[in-house]
Amino acid sequence: MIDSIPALMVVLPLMAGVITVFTGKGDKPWAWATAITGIVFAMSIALLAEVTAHGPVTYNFGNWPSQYGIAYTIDAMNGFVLFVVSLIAAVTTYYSRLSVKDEIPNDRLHIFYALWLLTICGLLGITITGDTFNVYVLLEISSLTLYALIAMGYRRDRRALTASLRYVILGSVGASFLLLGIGYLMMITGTLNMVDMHDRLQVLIHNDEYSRTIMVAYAFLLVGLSLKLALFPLHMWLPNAYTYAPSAVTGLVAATATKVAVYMTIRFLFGIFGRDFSFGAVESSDVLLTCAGLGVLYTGIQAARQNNVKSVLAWSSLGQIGYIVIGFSLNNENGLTGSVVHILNHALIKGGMFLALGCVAYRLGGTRLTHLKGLGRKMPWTMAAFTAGGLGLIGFPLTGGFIGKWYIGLGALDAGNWLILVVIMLGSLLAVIYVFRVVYAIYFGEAEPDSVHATEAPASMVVCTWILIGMSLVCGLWSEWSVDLAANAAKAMLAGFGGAH
Amino acid sequence: MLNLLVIDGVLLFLVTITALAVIEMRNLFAVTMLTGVYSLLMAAVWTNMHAVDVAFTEAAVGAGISTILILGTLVHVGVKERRREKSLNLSALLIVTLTGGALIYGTLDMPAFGDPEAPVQTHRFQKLFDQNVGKVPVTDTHHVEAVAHGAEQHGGEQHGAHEDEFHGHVYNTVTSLLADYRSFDTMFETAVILSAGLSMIMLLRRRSDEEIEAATQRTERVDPDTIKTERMDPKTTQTVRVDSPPGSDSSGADKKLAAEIAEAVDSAEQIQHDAPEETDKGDQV
Amino acid sequence: MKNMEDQVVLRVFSKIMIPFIIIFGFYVITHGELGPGGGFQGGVILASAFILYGLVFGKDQLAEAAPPRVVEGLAAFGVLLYSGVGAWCLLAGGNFLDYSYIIPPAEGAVIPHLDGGAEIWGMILVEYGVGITVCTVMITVYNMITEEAEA
Repeated sequence: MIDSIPALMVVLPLMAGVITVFTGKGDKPWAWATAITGIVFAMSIALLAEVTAHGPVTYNFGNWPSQYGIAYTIDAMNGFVLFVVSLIAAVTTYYSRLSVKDEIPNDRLHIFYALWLLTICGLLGITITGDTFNVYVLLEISSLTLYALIAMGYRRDRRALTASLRYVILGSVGASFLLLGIGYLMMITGTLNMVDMHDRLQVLIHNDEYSRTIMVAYAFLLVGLSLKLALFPLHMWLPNAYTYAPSAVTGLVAATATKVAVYMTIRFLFGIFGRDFSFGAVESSDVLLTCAGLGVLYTGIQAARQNNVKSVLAWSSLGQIGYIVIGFSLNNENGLTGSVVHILNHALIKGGMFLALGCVAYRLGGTRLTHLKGLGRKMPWTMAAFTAGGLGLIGFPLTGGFIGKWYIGLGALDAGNWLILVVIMLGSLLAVIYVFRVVYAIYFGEAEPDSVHATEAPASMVVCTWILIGMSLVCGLWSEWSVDLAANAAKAMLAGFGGAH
Repeated sequence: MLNLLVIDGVLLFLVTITALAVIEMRNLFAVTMLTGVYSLLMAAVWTNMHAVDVAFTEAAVGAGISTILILGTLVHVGVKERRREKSLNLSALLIVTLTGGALIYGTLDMPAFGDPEAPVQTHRFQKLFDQNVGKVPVTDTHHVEAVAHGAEQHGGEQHGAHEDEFHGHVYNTVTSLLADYRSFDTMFETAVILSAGLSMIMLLRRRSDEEIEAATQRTERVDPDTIKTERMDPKTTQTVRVDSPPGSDSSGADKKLAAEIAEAVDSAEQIQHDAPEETDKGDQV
Repeated sequence: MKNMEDQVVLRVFSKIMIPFIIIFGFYVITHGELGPGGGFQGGVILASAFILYGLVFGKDQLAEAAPPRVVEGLAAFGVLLYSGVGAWCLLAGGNFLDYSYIIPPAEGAVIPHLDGGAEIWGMILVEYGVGITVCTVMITVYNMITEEAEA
């Protein structure tokens, strides 16, 4: 059974998600989903331990050889991302019980959790697979289910529909660009398996064959991936989708969906095209750094102007994505390590903060700045979690957010790019502004008449929030383990395909 | 060969005309019919390329089911498209032209259609076509080294089978690819369809009676936010109604009353949500 | 929609056609190995029979012939059938979706798939899984769209 873990990581949420349709009403769908995500999380730890100890693992579906069938390949890089995704999935699922009951019509909870598990299945599948077309199929599952989950809206907020429609359109454009890129690559390499594709592409690039086709495939993949990860000029779908989605969905999406897109980008740029092509033959480094750098500044300013705290965090997510993109675009080990470790830390911080806002929404029915005024005394635990997370967003030393920025900064120094250092500093400054604007309202604002009687959120919700925030603090104080894992992943990616050679 | 080219040329010409007509038409009913025509023509193009399975799907799905489903949607949204103020969006045209140009630029280096020397034909194709890939022995599947580099060499030899046992052979190679070599993908494609169905159910199903009751009770918990209407965006308030009042059941006056209550609750919530917010600025960016 | 119920020609003609469409749907699913077609196309053809019935005789009649709850359950069942075949292979000792393990190996045989025949069973079951899901989801989508229209 141990050998089957790679398959079960994805197949279990799929089958469980389908079975959820039959679970009936009440808390049963939630309990079922929680149990499954818990098991998946345990499996991801086992898998990560196995990969760290013995090197990459491959699983062949139907026992066909990798090039002919579909193979899962888990190395230090995607083992790490799998761990992050399944951790967030487990915590947000446990958290979601009261929040979802409050915000989603209760006659369709079983459908909601079926889609929820299918989303998780899709995100895990994208991360784990070693087959480029399989990436696209799983991307379809995760996107399609997310569109529906977001469209449900916070208490059926109808603006969620327009937000989701925009996500549908831009997401579909991104997905079809990915498909075109993969199709072009398939045409000239004759394979879909990532390892095989990497090997054959290197030969083609070396011999200068099909160079225009490779270039166009690269361009389409890069644009498609940038859409999916919401890189600065292509970010329009994200803020409203995050703001109007149900609280638990926002927590899950914000912490996982863009992170998985980042993983895909790293995999395609480093693992399939190879860094010599991605950052040598093509000058994509400058383009990516410019977009991400401008994005950090622009989204920081936007975040400071929002009045709904959920959209403050959504805009801030875009800025954090900017840091991660900066990290891997620097194309050196420190930068990439910073990116990978920031995937974990930002997922924890942002997931935790959105869950904290979910607590507020549960008690007060809204997450505007006016709702949060004076909540420091009414909901001390939730607000403490929010503030701790906010410090992480700024990149305050000893918090998780600091570690990633530190390594990205080191990477910028290694690359001799001072401008990037300035951008990181300015970005942190903007983060100080938008975080303290909210924190000030929480602790020094005068409570609005409606929130005078607010009390601390239910224990199960607060505990989940604190698990994520607490882990981000732990990752800041004892950063060795996460940095070691990330450095392993970075080394593997810089070496080409996940160190399979 | 020439005949095929002529037929292809004519078909593609018709396809282009249909596509342009779809873009230009303002009557959505006609547009729906034209997309059906478009799919039929494409089905013919696929057949010409010997991709019969694709043609079959295109005909059944594109020309058949999706036409009916779009018609069903037209019942809600009406058949007239609203006139746009700007008839030509230059930046959109530029992006589309660039994208199309890039795609064509990429084809310049591509192997010719049906070229027997193309990588797709030479790399794995023969084994897949002959159905003699041969499975990997289970014990060897664990670590990458064994599979990525070893499988090809001793995958089949280990148990002396060079052919795949499809009970003879599967005559339709496409099916052997979809349902066996890459059956894992097909499983998820099926799951994609299921998620589409589930999404429809979740977003469009009418509320049950219990839910309406619950919604009525919930109003007490909704905080009575100050309702400001001066900047209400007419677009957001007129989006598709998600809940249809369950009046069509005609199962008694109480139910209708309950439905009305639910609707009133809904719109109260709605107005509340539509109170002005800075976030709306995100739309204009 | 109401008017259609008065159209005698339509009613009679579709009553004659529907059985043929259904049989053709099953034919396409089953014969995917031999000719063009397979679960997806066959499922769509099956669904079109039901949708035709719904269009001509009204959605209440359709709901009687194919109760929405059953249809939705079957949609989930199709995927379960597919992944269940995979899981069965896994439990029997092979990798996921390794059809060779569907039929237990004969006494003393080491490599199950040399016994032959198992692959074909796997493919047929899987195609039916696809067909069931596609058919029922199409009916569900149709139901959901018309449900709003008549409200």
